[in-house]
Amino acid sequence: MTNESRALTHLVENAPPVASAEALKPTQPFYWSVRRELWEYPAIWMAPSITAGIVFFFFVLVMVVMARPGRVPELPYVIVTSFMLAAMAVVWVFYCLDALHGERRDRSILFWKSLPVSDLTTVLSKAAISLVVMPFVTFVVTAALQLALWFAHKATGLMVGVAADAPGPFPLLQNWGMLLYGLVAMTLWVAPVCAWLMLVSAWAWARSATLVWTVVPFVVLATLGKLVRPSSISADRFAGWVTEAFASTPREGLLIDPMNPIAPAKFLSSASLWIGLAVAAFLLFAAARMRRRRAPL
Amino acid sequence: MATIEVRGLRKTYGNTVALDGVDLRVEEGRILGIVGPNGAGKTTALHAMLGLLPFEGKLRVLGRDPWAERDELMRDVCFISDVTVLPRWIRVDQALEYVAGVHPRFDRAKAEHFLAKTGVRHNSKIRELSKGLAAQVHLAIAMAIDAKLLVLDEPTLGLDLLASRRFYDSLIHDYFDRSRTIVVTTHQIDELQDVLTDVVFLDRGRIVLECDMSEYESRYFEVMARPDRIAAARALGPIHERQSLGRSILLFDRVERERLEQLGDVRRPSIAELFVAVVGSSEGAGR
Repeated sequence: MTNESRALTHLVENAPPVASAEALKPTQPFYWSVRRELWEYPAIWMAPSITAGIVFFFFVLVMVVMARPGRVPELPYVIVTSFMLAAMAVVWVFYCLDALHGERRDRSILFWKSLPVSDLTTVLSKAAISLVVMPFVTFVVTAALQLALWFAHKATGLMVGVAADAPGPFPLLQNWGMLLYGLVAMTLWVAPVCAWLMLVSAWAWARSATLVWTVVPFVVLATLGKLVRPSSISADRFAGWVTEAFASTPREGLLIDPMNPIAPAKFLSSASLWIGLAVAAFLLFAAARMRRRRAPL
Repeated sequence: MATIEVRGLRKTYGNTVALDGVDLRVEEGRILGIVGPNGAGKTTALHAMLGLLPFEGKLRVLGRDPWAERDELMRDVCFISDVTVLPRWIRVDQALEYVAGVHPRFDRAKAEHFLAKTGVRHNSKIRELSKGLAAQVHLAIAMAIDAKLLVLDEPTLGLDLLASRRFYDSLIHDYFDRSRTIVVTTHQIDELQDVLTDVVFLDRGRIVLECDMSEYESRYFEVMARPDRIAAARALGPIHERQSLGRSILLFDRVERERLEQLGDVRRPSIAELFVAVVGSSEGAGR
């Protein structure tokens, strides 16, 4: 026996026993899984914030330049909102495609799986990022941007001699309500897209393959939709919600049209919405099953 | 109940057989080393035990089926695969916070105590640390988890000599006690020889040698046979024979030392030498 192993034996014999089954500390695997997504993908809040900063700077500059004594130009609320939605859409697609792929690429899946967090919890936490957190962040940042623009508009007006009680550039509260409703409707509508992208990210090997598989079903569905009309499943999964969630078709080129009254009852009774949500639940479950078998790339 | 119980474990990938009927029993309080050449099935065996892949055969870890109950099992099992699996973007304090949030047996104060010894700053990201320090961070997290079973897959691969020495020192001095069980695979078996209580050689999906280390010292001997005693030595059934400097060196299993001393100089082979003899020769025979 070497000195070292003798020392070890001595150590082993004098070691205190492991604490026996005491009451286990309560844990919150879902909450912490969402937190870690926010750490890993700061773009979730940085992209909307930076976009808002740029939009604010640009519109205030134009407004100040175009202001004339007694008159400040109207602020295009719809365009401001569209920039924010576009920023969210870009981050959203990249996030969903990377959600279950990135952890295999950098092999960290072996670390995550060494902890008592189920595959379903992980997949649901990632879905919650794209279906709850990202729309919420977009709402908060956009609302703040609108508020800032509203005040900037007022301030500019006061400087060029507009009466302090003149109406603002747009009805702020009504716009916030509209924005919130629009974001919720849009998110529910695109949930199956999110779930599909996450399934692809759990299953595809190469990064290029994720892009191919992302596009294929939409081509197939679009073709099917043309063959069998009306098809409630293949109803346009990107912009279809606009006609479902509002009273009428919006004006040309607009997603959220402030002139178009909301129609929640019509939206909630849309078969297409519920079929989409059922498909989303199924695909998320499939993604969790897929992750269970997945090893690092 | 044994900590790990394996019977007839098989795993195939298409036509490739990764594990070909492995039987193994690991009792509480043991430190088992699994040694094998690349592609022997070491990692596959560990991954099956950790619920990372489906398998054929019977496999119970702490009484649970790992594939069906991975997340529950991970409350009592801790797992470090090679040093590069900590997410590179995470900050040390975030890693601690996350594990504390999801693991019922994690003691954050303990982890911070271990980290203080390494000198790692809490606001460093893993990508900013050297491999050796990242391994120490992972080990600090693992040691702060009050687990019944710790599984290490090539934990020191790519670390320099000092870093891997430090790794095993902390493991043995700060962590191990008799109510825990450790399973470790490694290539650098020499640095583990004094730590293990059991060793298993795995080759092409099969266990080719299984030995209790307390038995090891009285079981394996190497004889540099005197030229006139070679025939007598061969008659005792060596498990391996090689030539060195013009003399025959024969390796024996379970032959009394006194008998061997009459044949030539006797010494105890290291695990690495035994490994080369057992696995190396079967490889020659198989090809």
